[in-house]
Amino acid sequence: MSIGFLLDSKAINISLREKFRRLPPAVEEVCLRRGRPASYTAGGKTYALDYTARAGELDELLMLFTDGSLYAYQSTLCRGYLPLPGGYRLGVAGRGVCEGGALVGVTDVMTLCLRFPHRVPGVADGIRRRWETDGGQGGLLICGSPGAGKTTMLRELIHTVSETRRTAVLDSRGELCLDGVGKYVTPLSGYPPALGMEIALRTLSPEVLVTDELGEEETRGALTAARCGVPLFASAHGTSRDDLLARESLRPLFGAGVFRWIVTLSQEGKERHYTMEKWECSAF
Amino acid sequence: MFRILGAFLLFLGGFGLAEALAEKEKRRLSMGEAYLDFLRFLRGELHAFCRPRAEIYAHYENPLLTACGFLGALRESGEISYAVKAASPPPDPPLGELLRAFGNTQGRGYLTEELAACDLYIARVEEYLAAIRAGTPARVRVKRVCTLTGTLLLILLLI
Repeated sequence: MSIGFLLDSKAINISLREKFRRLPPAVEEVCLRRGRPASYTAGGKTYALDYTARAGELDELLMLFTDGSLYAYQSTLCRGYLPLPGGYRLGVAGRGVCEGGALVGVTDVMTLCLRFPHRVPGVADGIRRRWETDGGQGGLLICGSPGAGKTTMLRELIHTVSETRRTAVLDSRGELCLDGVGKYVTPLSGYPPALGMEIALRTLSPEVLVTDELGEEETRGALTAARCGVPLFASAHGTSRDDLLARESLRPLFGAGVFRWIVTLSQEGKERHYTMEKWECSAF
Repeated sequence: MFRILGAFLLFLGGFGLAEALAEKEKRRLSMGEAYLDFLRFLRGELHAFCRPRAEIYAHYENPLLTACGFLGALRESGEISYAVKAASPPPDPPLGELLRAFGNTQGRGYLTEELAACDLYIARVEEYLAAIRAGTPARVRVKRVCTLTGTLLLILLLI
């Protein structure tokens, strides 16, 4: 089901449908809240959306987005999101249902955050050129605060690098490999991160490995990639080198020299900037 | 001569009607079994593959449910309740109620709840069909006997 069809669906309250139609083209995210005002983000700024979801409405919307098959998306919903066609991502928050200490479902939805994917063609060309000029070896880490554009940058980097290199992408949320992104690209969707990386390294002979939102689970696979000599492109939350070094789960990667470059994204008003610097790391 | 011919035609008509009624009774059971087969298939697919509903419906085939329009309406709407209403002939009222009630439980829960609802309604439909199955031979006989007896009486009256 395409996002356009969903947003035009008669199952959605007509007032909400009108709000969606009137959103600016550059909208990045829309947040609907039960009993509280909705908002949308554009150009890095948050604006009020004159709409308050009534009780039960967000649950109905979630049913619509899952096409009446909530159970089929149970694993991703328990990680807080629902991947939608076209690279859209729906963040879901509500009342967690736990069993044996593990989250097994989300009910009484309180917030739905719909993230809109954007292409910014050419934005990563400079990064690629500099990386290739340096020999095209060594990993690259894109960091920034939430909403800084890490996924967008990573997507464009995949597009430009895969023009000439076999690129395997761990696309767990379906946000990176949109239609028209990349040439020699193999997306691996739904794989556990470490296993996905190992499978990619063993069977796809990638020249570049890409993953979004580096965390503890990806660390093992990233270290394996480094040992195999395959450069890893990844993103991580953090606005500075110190932020990244403070994350214990990422330290083994820095110590092992997995990343040779760090690209830091920042935002000033509507403008987004990046700085690219070499990461010289002493052994831990 | 014409009386004998008329009596013969009446007898044939009566015999045909008796068979049609018996067939309708048997078909009632077959349709019930077809709906049960659908519920079991749905349960199996949920348990084994956890596929989205639209894919499950697309993979299911049953000539009886296709012929009555249930499957077509189901694939179009994705709603079991709607498909039950759209089926022609409709299922028996008690079976239709069970199917609509089942349809209203679908899509709102996670896997455990979906499977539990399937199990509950499969058991209820099986119970309903067991009662139908037990009574079908007797109902078929009664319908045949009554129809043929009525035809013979009519023939005697007219002759």
